[in-house]
Amino acid sequence: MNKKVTIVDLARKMAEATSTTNRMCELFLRELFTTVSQTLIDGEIVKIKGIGTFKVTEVKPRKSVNVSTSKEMEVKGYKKVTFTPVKSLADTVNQPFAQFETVILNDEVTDEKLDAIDKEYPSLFSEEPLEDTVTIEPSDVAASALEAEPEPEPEPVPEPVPEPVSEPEFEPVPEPDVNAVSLGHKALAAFGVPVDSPEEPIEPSEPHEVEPLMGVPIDEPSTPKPAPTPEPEAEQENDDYFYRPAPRNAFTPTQEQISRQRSRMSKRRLWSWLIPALVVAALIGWGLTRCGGKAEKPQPIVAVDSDSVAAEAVAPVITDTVTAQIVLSTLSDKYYDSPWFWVYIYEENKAIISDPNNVRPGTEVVIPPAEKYGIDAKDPASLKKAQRRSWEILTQGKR
Amino acid sequence: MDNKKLVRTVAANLGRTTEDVSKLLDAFAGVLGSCCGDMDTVVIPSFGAFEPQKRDERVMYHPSSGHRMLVPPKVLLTFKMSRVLKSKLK
Repeated sequence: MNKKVTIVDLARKMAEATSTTNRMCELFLRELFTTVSQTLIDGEIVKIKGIGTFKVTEVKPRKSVNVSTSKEMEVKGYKKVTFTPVKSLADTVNQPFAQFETVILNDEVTDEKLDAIDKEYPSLFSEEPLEDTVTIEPSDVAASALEAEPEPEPEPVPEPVPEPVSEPEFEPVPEPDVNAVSLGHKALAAFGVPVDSPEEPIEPSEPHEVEPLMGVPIDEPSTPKPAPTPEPEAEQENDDYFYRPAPRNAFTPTQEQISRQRSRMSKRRLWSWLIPALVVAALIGWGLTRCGGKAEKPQPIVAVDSDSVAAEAVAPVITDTVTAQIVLSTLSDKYYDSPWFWVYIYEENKAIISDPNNVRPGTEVVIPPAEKYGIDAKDPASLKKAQRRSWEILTQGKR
Repeated sequence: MDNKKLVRTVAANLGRTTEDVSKLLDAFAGVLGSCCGDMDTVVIPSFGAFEPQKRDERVMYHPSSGHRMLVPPKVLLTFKMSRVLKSKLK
């Protein structure tokens, strides 16, 4: 990445490919480009098979203003060499973005919306450092609201849902005793003891939260931020706000898909406040047994985390390890017969994966059961959903 | 100058057969593609540099139909000539 390849390196690579000597290859390269530049100096066009066309064009003199003296001056004309790569070479270089196509935007996607998206995700494709802990992008209110893992903040604002708060408590610290702590919280909560455990604020907060959400304009991208939710579908939506670069197999996006997704989100969020209240009671008991049972497992954190999602995750937890060769999409292909479903593995393990493009080799990830996210490689709707989600992770990660 | 003539000229200057030279040329094209595919810059002394550059996605208007189009991001292979070549061209 972003290295300089010298003629010596080139010659070495070519010698490997053609089984000739380095010296021969270097001689050839020097001779080739001397010939090409001589031809160009003579004013001819040079076409090279498999590489492209070199052409000399003239740049006319133009007037400009000296910035420091603000006097007019003339920039001299000169000749420059332009290069047009052949299609095959251009495609090789563009390979990471090959599956994108230009799309027509519908009228419902206004400039304001696009600007809002630009503002919200300012750093698409900027390099992110690889860290073990989840990084919080400062520019990103949503991310910070949701990814408050490292320190559970004592929030005056009713943060109604148990999981977002409880995750901070045990997720980032993969130590065995943490389990005991969370178990304690849950146990106390189960008996109605007011602990700083996440469980209790749910019921009281419910009325507060529903109201403002009703009034929320659907197309306003910043509104979803305060509401991390534990409910199955809603949790998937949450992950939209984990702004991460998507793996290279992202697909063609449209802006209207984003806005459609958003409107669906805010509707779902309403539900997400009502359902947890009912579900949590059942989950507490279930979580108790689960925490107790899984305490010695290497992956207790995610196991506990999954209680936020649904009771159907009780099935034996399948884990697998990411290596240099095996990435999320490879695992997805292995378990679900389609690489697209990497998004769900990422969502299941987002606590330990900060960047789906850069999962540290050796990371052990939980493979969610296929039913949990409605994964079905044969179902086009399911595939499409996964693709859309991977696009969302892409767009919201960076710009 | 087309490819054939170039190969012939280079082969004559090197004292090699045209087959050898075209094989080397193919290999060079392959290596160039793989290097630039890795976002590395290939620098040829006193000629120039082949540099892959990333272009962000953008919204453009279709000139005739007036549709707004979302143009996807892409990586372009650009060429920057060296100062030596620039001064020689004058």
